[in-house]
Amino acid sequence: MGSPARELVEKIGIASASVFRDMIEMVCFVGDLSKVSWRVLRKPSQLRWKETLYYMDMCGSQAVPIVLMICFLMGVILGFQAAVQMRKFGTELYVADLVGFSILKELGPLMVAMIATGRAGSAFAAEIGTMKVNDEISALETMGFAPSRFLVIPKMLAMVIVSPVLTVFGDVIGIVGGFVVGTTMLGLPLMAYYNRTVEVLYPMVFMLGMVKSVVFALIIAVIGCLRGFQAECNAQGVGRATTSAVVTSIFLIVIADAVLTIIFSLMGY
Amino acid sequence: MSNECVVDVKNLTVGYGDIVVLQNISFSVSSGEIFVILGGSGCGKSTLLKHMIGLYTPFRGDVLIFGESMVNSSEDEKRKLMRRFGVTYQGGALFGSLTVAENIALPLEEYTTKTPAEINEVVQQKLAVVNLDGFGNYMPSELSGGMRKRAGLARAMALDPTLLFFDEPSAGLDPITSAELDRLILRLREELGTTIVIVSHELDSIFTVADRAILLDKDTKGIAATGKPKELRDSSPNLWVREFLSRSKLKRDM
Amino acid sequence: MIEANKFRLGLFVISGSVLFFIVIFVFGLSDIFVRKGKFVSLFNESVQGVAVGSPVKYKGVPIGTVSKISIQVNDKLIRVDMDIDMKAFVTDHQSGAKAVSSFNDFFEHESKMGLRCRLEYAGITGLKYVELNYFDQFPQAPVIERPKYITSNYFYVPSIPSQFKDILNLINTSLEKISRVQFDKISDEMTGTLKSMQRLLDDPKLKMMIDKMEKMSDNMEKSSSNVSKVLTESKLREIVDGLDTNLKSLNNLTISARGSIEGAKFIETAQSFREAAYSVTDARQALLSTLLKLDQTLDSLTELVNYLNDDPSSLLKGKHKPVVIAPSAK
Repeated sequence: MGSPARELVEKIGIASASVFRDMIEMVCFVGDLSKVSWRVLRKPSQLRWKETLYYMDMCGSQAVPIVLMICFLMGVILGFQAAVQMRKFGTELYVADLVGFSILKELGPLMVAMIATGRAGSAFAAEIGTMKVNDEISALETMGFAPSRFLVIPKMLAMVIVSPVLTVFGDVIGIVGGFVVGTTMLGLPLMAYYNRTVEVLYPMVFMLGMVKSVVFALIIAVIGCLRGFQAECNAQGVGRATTSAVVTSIFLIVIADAVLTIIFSLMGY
Repeated sequence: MSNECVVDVKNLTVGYGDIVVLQNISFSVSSGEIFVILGGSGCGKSTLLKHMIGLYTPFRGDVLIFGESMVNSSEDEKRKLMRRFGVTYQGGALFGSLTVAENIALPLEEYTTKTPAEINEVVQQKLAVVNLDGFGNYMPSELSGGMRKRAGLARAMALDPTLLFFDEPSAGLDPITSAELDRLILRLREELGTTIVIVSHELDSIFTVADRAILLDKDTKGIAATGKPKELRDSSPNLWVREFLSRSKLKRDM
Repeated sequence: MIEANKFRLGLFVISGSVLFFIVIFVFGLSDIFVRKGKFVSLFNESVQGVAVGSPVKYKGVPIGTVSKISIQVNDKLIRVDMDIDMKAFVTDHQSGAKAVSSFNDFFEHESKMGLRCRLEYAGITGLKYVELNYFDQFPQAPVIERPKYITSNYFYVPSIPSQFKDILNLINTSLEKISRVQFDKISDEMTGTLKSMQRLLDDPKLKMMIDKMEKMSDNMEKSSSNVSKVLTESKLREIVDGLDTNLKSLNNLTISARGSIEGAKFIETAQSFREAAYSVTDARQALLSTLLKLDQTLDSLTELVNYLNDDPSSLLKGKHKPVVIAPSAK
């Protein structure tokens, strides 16, 4: 004790131990979840359909306006920035390539994931955290239920279904955003831009974006719920759980995005 | 009232993290008994309850419920065992996303093969027992604290368990509501022969309902006294026990 | 409270799914319904700038895309597979087997007529596309014959080097030719020639000959003055006779003079000098000036010889005198 250097080393040690513990907990949670998912898969009647539909509505259809808005603006911004640079070289038509590929491969799934993290991930953490404070989780357990079957599986399933659908919306409106810039600001002919977009994009790019969005959805649902379960039993604890859910989700989404991008490029796409 | 042992706590040592809260606790609850776990704030009575109902794993010792171990059984066996008793939590712990009726119907839907009509019948009956007729379609957030507790009790009784645990049943309730709840507990025992374990520090309730009580001591991390509350108050060899039980009594008399 | 808005959810799922299939269709499934011809070409140059999906154009009309780029290990050629959209070709038969066969016929014919493919730049970005066209105006590089491993269900279009490669080739061969010019030998030979020239000019015989000629012309002058002094009819005949013999001997002298001058081969030497000078386009300034001086000397020599050739009597008469003498002789 005493010397600042030693204190620093101790702090680093404590921090890494907590990160390590957190990772262990995450792995355990995923393991438990896989077990419950497998059971539900074998006996679909165990699935809580009502909750699933509710979360699909909450995380899906209610998120459409914000997804449309953000992704459209994303397309516009991307198109605009690309246009400014490409105009110098007289390669304005390549704006269609840039916007199309960026939106389909990266920004569509990523933006939807960010929105979903903010909307759904935080809501999941807060909901489960509050339930924990109110002993509802304990009640579920002492009623002989696996809490994750009630609380996690419906959220996970809803997110996995809804996220690709939202991504489709985001992709399309994002490309439309680029299209608007291309035709108004650059004065490219409507059909030229359209043809270029259709020419360079192929379904596999789109499908890879869908795969990404499913992975992101799983991360958001799992991390949101995990942080809820880990919440301390007071109001501040729930708040911290919510913050941590959003931060951890975004961090893991970015890592997953990088990993998936590498995998896809190794696969040759 | 038979002497069959429903809950048997053997050499239980519990705590959080590295801190031991209670050490070497042993007691048993007989069938049809109303058993109260008493203690001051922070003495670990809620912790003890949570270990008894299987939410936490103890450091050492075992809890037998209906003769089956809560600690050494697999998760599936534990869940099966859990269905045989009911737990009422402090705030009712009703699921906020479901109506009162849905809350009560949940275990019935999941564990029985009853038709929706039959389930509805059971739900109405349970609501009637706790004097909440007509509140089936209310959301938990629309009910008062006492009503929520009673709804929680109705849910705990949904599968007609022969053992009920209560966590602070009268906490945060006005004296009249609290007394109503006490009467309800007594009626349950009389009508259904249910064994009831209560964690509480509300002495007025305890003197009304308890057949037997244990008093937990924070300092010794063990049981300070066992016996009928009134007898303990009047003739315990331990001064602290008499003071604990009577000082509150004095307060109430003032 | 936890009740989904079924209508909104349904609308969301349905519209999302519809959009999904539209996107899939628009971005590529429509390709499935396009009839495609398979083209293949082999390049022995770098295909840098061409990628899978690069456009293929026939006389500038986009007709398809590059579908695969691979390296043939056995002959180290780069194989470029192309998918050609048959819809880009309007035939009499809009669809069916007939359209395919007429499409096939068309390209069979085109290929026989010398259709070639070449990589061309699509812009300044370095991207290239494959152009199908006739490239007669460019020097024909040896065409890669259709190898056996290209099966008959492919159209084989021979490739020709890209324009960039043409330019590179030209520069390379020019540099090679320049490097083959032996500047050392040229300069050695030139030094030798110059030395022999110097020797020729320093030859005492030439000096003596010129001296003698000068003396002769002096004598002539004297004799002419004598002629005018003793110009009588009888004597004139004698003199003319004497002059005749004199002229004859002068003729002989001239012939022998010409012979000795021709022996020096001034003209040929000058010619070879010029040739040498031409072959070295970037000759050094010093060499050029030396050559120029030499040229001038040679020119004046040639002039002299020509003059003597045209009018041998000038050797006797001097350069300008005959104009004075001739009328008096008549």
